Amino acid sequence: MKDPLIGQQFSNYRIERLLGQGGMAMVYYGHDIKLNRPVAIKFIDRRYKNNPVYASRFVNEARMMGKWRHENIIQIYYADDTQGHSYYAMEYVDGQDLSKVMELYLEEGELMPIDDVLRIGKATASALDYAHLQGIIHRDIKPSNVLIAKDGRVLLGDFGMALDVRDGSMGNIFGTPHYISPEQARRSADAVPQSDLYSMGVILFEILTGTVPFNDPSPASIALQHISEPPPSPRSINPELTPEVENVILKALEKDPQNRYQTGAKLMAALESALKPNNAARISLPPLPVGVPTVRRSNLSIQQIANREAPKQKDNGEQSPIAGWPATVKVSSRFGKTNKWIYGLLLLLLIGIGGWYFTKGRSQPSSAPPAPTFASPPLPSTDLPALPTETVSPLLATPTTLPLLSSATPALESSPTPTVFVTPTVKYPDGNLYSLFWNDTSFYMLNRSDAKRSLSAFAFERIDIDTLSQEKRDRFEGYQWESQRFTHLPDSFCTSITIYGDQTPPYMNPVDCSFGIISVIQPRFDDDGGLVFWRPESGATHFRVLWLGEEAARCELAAGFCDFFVP
Amino acid sequence: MENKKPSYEKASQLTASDLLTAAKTISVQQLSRLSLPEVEAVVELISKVVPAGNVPGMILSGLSRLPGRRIPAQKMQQDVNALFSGVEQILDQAVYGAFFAGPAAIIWGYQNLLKLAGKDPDSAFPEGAWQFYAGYALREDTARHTNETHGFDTLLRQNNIQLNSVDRLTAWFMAAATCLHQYHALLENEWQERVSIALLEEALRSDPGQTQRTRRLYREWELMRPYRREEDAANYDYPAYRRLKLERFLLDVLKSTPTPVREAWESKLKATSQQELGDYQRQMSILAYLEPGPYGETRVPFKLSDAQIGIIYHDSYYLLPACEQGSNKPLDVISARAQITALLASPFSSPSQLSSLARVKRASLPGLRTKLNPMLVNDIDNLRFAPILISADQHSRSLPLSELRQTERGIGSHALTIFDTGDSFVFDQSHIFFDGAWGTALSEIMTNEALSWARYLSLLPSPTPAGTRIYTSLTLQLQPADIDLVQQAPHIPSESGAESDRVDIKACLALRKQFKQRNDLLKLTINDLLVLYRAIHAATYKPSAKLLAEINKLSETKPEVAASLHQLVEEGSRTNPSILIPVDASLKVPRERIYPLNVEVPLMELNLLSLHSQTMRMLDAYEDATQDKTVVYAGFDQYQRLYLASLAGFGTYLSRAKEIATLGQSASVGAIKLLAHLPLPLQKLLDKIPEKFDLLNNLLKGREVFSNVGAVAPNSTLTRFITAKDDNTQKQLAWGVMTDAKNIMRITLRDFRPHVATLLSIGRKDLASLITQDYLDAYAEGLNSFIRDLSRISAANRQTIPTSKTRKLSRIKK
Repeated sequence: MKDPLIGQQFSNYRIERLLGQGGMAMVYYGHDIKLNRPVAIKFIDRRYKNNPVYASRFVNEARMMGKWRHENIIQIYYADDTQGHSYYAMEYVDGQDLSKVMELYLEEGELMPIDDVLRIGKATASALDYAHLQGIIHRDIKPSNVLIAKDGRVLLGDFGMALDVRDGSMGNIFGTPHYISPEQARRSADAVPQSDLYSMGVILFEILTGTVPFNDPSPASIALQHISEPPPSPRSINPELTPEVENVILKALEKDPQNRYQTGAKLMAALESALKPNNAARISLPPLPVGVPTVRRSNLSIQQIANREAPKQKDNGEQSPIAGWPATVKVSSRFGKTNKWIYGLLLLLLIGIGGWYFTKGRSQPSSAPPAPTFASPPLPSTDLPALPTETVSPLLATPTTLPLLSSATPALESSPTPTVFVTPTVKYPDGNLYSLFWNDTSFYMLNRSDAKRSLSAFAFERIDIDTLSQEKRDRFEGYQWESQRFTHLPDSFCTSITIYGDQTPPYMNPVDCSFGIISVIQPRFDDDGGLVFWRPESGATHFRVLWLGEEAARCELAAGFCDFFVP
Repeated sequence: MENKKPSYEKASQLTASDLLTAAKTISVQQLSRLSLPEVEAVVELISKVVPAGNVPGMILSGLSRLPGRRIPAQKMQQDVNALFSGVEQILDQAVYGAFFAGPAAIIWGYQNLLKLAGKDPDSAFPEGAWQFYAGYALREDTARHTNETHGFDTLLRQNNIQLNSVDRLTAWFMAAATCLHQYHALLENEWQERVSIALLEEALRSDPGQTQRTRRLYREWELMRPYRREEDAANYDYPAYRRLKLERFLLDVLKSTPTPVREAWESKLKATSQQELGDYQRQMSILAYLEPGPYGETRVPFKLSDAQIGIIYHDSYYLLPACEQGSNKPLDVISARAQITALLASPFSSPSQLSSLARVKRASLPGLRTKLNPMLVNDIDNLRFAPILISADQHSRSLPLSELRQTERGIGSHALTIFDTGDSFVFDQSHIFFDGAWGTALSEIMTNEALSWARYLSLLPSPTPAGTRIYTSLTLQLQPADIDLVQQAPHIPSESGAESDRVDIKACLALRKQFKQRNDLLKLTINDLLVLYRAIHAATYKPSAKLLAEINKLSETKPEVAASLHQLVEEGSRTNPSILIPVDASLKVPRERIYPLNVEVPLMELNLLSLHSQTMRMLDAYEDATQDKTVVYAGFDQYQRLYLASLAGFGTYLSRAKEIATLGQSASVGAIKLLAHLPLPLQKLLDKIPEKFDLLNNLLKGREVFSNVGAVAPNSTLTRFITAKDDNTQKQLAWGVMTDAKNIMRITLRDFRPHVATLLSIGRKDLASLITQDYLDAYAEGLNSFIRDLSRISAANRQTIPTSKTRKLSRIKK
């Protein structure tokens, strides 16, 4: 059904397409027909527009913020309550939000460069200090509300949950749990300016370590941890951080607002001083050895990574620009990787200092709309034709219901005599090589490439031939391998699923996994929870490997091993 | 015979021509203080002293100046002609003696035979003539050079990281293991840097727009090449990171290079790489041990998977594999840590006594090993697979490096020993594997690698000992019979060491600047000044009152020893030492590493001592003159001109000599190349000649070594350096010079003069040390004074000279 708002004009703004939709509002891309410029227009969701108090406040606050002028706050041009719609028009930002930028870095297994950390942090802090001076508390500071424009500007957006300290809270608004301050988690109305700075502390924690301090499948549990649990030591997650940096982050995450930095500027000044000690006589330590398990800082600037349109196709070597020279190898040293003890020890260390071991990813539904006012880059290209795989199953011609697969994977020809052997995929012939090994009781995935990829991007499902029901297929989601320490599979390491029961089964333990297995999921043999997709049930002969929901490979169940590539 | 007589003369003419070409590059108009005839006179004199001819000519020309063996000029010329025409049988055996004339003629004849056979003498040795020479003449324990870095402890302290003893050793174990695994890549970098830039310079010479930059390309790279991984290297190991930096550097140069030039360069680089890089890596590999033979060392390569890291703890030796069992994969850090935890917790075993074997002459080791107890021999053989030894026993940093290394350090068949002082790390390096520059670079690289590991280890929980031990404990105790055998074997000369940082480097630099401002011909480098003053020091040294008092005190109990010490001082003042200066050859041909340059400062010929004192006397008189200064100034001006002209001539000569050496054309290099072609017994025979003929020794090998590795990089933590000396027993002093990152010049002196052994034998090591220290201190202080004098001389002129009163005031201030 067509969105009735699209095509309509409100004041000078013509609505063109939906950009995003959250719990309380929808954001459209529009055009200012008088000034001939793109705009983002935010409308109250239908469910709230009949709430006159909320609608009035929505517009009033927008009008008030429309008077603000700050280089790091999205400019609101106009607000109105007309034709039964409450809306406001604002600056349209072409770029990425910080959460996506951070994801891109994590996909590379790297962290944002220090200079960019400081630039983004200072901009956000400056915007917050300005809002606080105006008497406004944002209350929903999170990476998706920090926008990185393609021209390099950093803007804080979505004051939709903002609390005017003079008006008090509406009482029913709850910040995003991963970033919520303890006082806000207890009672929304208790939010103070330092609550925003706490949230910013969480963002800095995440940028500098690659993970948030508290994570759990249950939002309530996360909120509880913010209230009662001390945050883990940032250095325990990223050993490259200095004690000085850790002290700054932990002070920003103090439970009592009085003990935190009182302004964003003070927080960032302390962080800058810790990250860049101005001591010329002092020589910094060299980085950690290559290959030891730690998060690595990226060479890519925030602009480079934010403007990148598709994941970089990586090779083990970077081709030398000088003809005749061998490629410069971006090395992942084997030191420290040859023994899984190290990961065990680090995990123990984390646990010992209060870290949490979670088996589920932290992506949780947000109570606020997703960053609404900026354009997302195109998804990784899916229009390249996939070359045919060498072996085929009878079902291969069956259209899949996965949304991207139809365009990404053209129909494959069937083979009369399937070969029981490795089934290489050439979907991403220049991609990163992964290997799978399995027997009746165990399944292993090995990263043979130099690139770390998010475990949650993988999924596996058996291709059953006796049912068309997707739901009934045995399926395993890669995020279940994630832990607080590991969200990505390091190169040369394995992750696994082993079935356990009342006797020790013959696990495979492939020699290729001798570098270490970072995560093991253990379903019971008598109730595997639908996870065991690699057993030939229901006449199935293959399972598929999904990468970001898209089929990246098919593997023959009888083969026992299979190589595939992902971008 | 057109080729006979003129040969020697031609050599002299060639040198003179070279020198004059250099001298005349500066236009006469620019010469404000020195006249060209003055420079020419100096150049001509020097070219006669040291002609750049071939070896026989060089030898004979030197022989003619041999004190007490002076040959009539006519006779010498006749014999030179005879030698050059290859008629060795007419040589006057009575004059030259069998040991000299025979081999000299043989060398010459052999060279001609090779040419007749169509062989290129330069290509006869795939590892290069220098590598041959290193194994032939730099094999003894005294031929190891040593340096020190303080970065490990300094940076850990600065970053508040405290390591326990296990992690301290583990960090260095991992650095050593990393070094072994990356060595191939490190060598490739070394080769690529030199060859690619040299070829690029060559290619760019054809492009007029690039001429200026071409001259300084390698220097530019030297200033920016990294010795450690910086923040932007988190994804790269050190060799890959350095390689990336080089690529970026080259690309910057290439972006303005015409495409045909670039393509030609790439093509040539590729071809050269295919042809030479592999040989270079094999030649320089650290994965080898030395097998001593009667005439030289044989490098025996072994596989990386067999490599061990040796650990010396409480004077006992342990071997820990550098790789996982049966593979080329490096031993992982956690396993290494657990093994080291177990090792350090193990009960002490009886200390080893290999240090006594380290001082036995290598030539006698093959015979000795047949008599030593088999268990000892077996474990000595096992130790050979450890190219790097790490001594976890702490050694006092207050000791001179030459003394600090006199502890358990293997027997010299391996490449590197690392000593821990608790505050720094000391690297003892075999000259067969490392020249001074490569050795110091590797120390820096390893220090930074160890820091990376230290940083990582500091984050781990407390170490726990390994359940299964994979390290091996070696049994290297000497039985009484072994001790007797070792004592009876021939030993290397005893040694005493001293160090000083008293040289005022700032004053030296200021003088250079002052010289340059005065006249472009006065282009003495810091090293030229050091070498020049070394000759002056040798001629003028007077022991301090304190030392004399000690010697006099000794005369009460050991009058003959005291008398010999007095004699030592007197002899020293009579000798103008032939100084061997190692010149970096790797820029031209990486595999050659070093071209030795022998310099005998022409003190007497240029009358430098007398000129200096007279010029100073005239300057003082001028400054002190109270009335009309015109006449006094004219006197000073005459001396000043002559003295500065002489110094300029010396600088020009040395500069040209270095150029010749850098091209691999010095007499010493020629001699080494020729030596390399001789059958082993003949090589050995020739090796004995220097012991018989002092001057030949001087010419071929120099009387002493003077090695200046220069100023370290700004972030470097290298702090001390002692140089190696070759095995020639006539070489008695080895001077090492390094300027650290704080701009402090440290000079080290290894003293092998005979009195050291005498004093050690009577238990007066302290006096031996005092003598060496006194000699070095006198050099440093004397140099400072010399530099001050030169500064005064150079600055003085009619216009700016201060009045007597202000001059006196300034002297008082000094």
